[in-house]
Amino acid sequence: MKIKFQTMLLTGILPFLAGSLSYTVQDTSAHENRLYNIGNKDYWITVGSINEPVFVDDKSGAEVFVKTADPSSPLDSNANGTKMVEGLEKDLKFEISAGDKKKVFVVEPAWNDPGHYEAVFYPTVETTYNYRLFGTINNVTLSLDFECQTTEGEGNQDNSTKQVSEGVIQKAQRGGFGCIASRSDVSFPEPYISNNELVEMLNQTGNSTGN
Amino acid sequence: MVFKIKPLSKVTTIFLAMLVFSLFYLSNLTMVRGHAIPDRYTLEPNSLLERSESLPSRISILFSERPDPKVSYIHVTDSEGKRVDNNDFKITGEYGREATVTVNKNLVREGIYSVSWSTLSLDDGHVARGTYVVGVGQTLGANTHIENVTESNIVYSPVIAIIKTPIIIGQVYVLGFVFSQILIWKDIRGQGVRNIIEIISMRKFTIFIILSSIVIGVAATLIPIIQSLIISQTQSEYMKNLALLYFGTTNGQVWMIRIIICAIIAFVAYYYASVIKNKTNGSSSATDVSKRKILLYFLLISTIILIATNSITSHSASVGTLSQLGILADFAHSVAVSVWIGGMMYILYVVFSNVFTISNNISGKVHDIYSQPKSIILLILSRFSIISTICVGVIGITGLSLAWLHIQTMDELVISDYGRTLIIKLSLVLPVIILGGYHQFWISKVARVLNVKRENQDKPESNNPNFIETLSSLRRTVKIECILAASVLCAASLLTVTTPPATMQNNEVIKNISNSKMSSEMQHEFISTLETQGIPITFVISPFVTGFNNFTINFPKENEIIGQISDASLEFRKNDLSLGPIDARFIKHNDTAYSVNGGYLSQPGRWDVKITVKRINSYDLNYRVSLNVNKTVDGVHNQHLVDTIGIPNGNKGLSVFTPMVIGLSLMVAALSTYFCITAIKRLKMIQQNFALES
Repeated sequence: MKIKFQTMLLTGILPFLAGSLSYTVQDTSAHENRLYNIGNKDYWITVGSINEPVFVDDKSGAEVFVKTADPSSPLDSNANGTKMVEGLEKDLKFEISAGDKKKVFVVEPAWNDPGHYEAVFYPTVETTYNYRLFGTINNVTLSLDFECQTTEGEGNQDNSTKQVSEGVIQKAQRGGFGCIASRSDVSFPEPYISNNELVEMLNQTGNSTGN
Repeated sequence: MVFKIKPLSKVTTIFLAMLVFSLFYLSNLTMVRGHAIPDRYTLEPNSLLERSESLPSRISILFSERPDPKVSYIHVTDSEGKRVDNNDFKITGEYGREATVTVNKNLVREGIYSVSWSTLSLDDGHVARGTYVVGVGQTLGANTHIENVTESNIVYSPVIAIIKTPIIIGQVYVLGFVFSQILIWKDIRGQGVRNIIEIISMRKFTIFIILSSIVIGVAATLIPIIQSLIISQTQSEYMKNLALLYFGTTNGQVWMIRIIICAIIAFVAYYYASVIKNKTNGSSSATDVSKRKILLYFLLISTIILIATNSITSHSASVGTLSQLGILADFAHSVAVSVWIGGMMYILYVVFSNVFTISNNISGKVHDIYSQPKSIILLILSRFSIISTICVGVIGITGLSLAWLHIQTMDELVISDYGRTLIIKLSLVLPVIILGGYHQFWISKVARVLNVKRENQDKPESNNPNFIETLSSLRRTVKIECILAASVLCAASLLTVTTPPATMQNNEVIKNISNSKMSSEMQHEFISTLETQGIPITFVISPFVTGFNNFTINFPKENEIIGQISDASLEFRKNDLSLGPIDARFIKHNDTAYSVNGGYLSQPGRWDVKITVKRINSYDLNYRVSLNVNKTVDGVHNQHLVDTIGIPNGNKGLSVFTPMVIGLSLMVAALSTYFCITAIKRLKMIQQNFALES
């Protein structure tokens, strides 16, 4: 069978473009990395939002990457000796909170990416989200709070050690992840009204007609 | 079967390499880490240095990851946006995480300097950017008033207003002329003189209509050209934007409709003239009469559609859920204005110019006294006075409605550019109405005199010098009225390009605070009330010029729905994306007041400011405001209200003007009705005298 030149061209270029585009989109993302000693073993736990930057009503969620630290260079999260930890989906959960609302989400392992777990949800309000990761790692119960940052360019680097809970010690912290942004700043050409805003408007209309 | 493995061609190799490369990219997409963001600075954000010598010659930032020196940068710019660094960004210090740029100290003066950084992390490839600000000099806190600075913002709106003026005047001419041509001579045909009048008035009528339609078409075509000039920076951009403005936007569609209508109007007017010319040549028939009538009505409908295109692209179309009311009011207002002012111009340029010719031509066909120029003028004016009285009533009511839609408070009326232009327009309308009243008085007086003369069968007085003087005096006052009315139209065209104070911004209420201190202090302060989720805050920037400013937010006291505030922060971005985001955190003074001082507004121009208030167990409050920052205090005054006053979409409340608008509308309607009834009675009497009453 003869493969046409155009088909080959598409086969080559399309994944390249898709990859480049996704790579560009990912450029603006950020996550919070923390080094924990859990049950006398060092772990890098990275938490952030799926598909950053995330706007209201986007498909997103909380995600966590868990890997063991390189014993020879534990403070370097990218050291060669780090190893992704698999099979934690049964042991970990996310509790997402925003305002006075809270909800627990189970985590699912990301496809073809060991050590990466996701809890998909659709953020409906522009506000501060708190991701509480809880469960067990290395047979130690833990509860870790991660809060998104409303201001861009803000991050932190902390190498101080602090006891989080029994058997869990935080040894380092790097960066942060952004909060869910409003689409109003980037909507074009017409202003975007989120589903939640629409519901509020409908409620107001209902109230006013009811009166 | 034997397979022969052929060597891959060059093209195939490249594609396969790209495929592998792409797959490699895709496989790495899920890797996530942090940004290369500032960890430590040699010159701390928001530093205030007393002297220019104190500014270090090297500015270094230690980033959390390694910036790629090929694309990362640190730029230091002054308050005019000019670079004062030596463009020598390089990686220094430990682990490749520290970056440095040197400063050209010769360029450093007292003022605000922005340090903008952008990094592409070598560790994870993520891009991050931000800006922080430092101040140099002792006088920054008070005011950074800089003399003899040429403002870089060029105001283009007046240019558009100038181009819009002929469009507005043109459509007033066309509609007024067509409407008057149809209505003013109505029923005179029964006297056998209508044909004569049409022939005499045809030349000026058609010339004005064709010229007006050409002017409208040309001006409408010029607007996108100017708009493209404003928004484009290069020639290729200009052509691209121009094509987009003409063919890719709603305004482009409106332009297209306008051009087509203008062409139709010009053609129909020309055809109308040719039909009348045929009549002059003696080939007039009943078909021609009805053809002329159809042509005039066709012109009328076309012009009304032309006016409608203006209304659907006016300020009134952007008042949220009330936009339909706004469009309707604007349309009725424009039609009434066109009929009134265009009708006056018709009387001036067509009737007055031809009155003696008409008089001579109809002499002998009617009673002597009624073929006099004064009688003709009397009949025309008395007919037109009914139309104008109704129009003034409609203009008054719709004008009040439009003002109510666009202006919420007395401050907005008095201080905003829109409000001031409206005041100028109304000031010009007043003498026009007074002159209109004078003409009503003239009509009544002359009608009485003619009635007496008719009863006494007096001789005509068309050659009487006193009469000619009276007629030219009347013509003069009508001319003054027309000039004033044209000035009103100029003011109206200015209004079309002036932003009304009531504008929506991101579904949040941004309303100017009514404040007794405004008159003097507002020149130095930005004060506005912002609202989201039903919670208002007062946002104050003092002084409201580039430099170091105090930013304060105040929550209303005893507002239980606010809840417990955990944090409040500000984010600044230059609207042209040249600076920012610049972040600042408010410091709590008490339960209701938070403030921060800093030189965040480092350059003049439009800035987008976001205020985020974090609350425990409640959603964040996100307030947004867009504002223009000036260097000079004089500039602040003009910009202040335009930028801060806003009305939420669909949440229009009752403004302080509501009772006043209702009261004035009722008064206008009553007066209009009274004068209209009087005018109808007077016309009835005149028509009876002319034996025109059916």
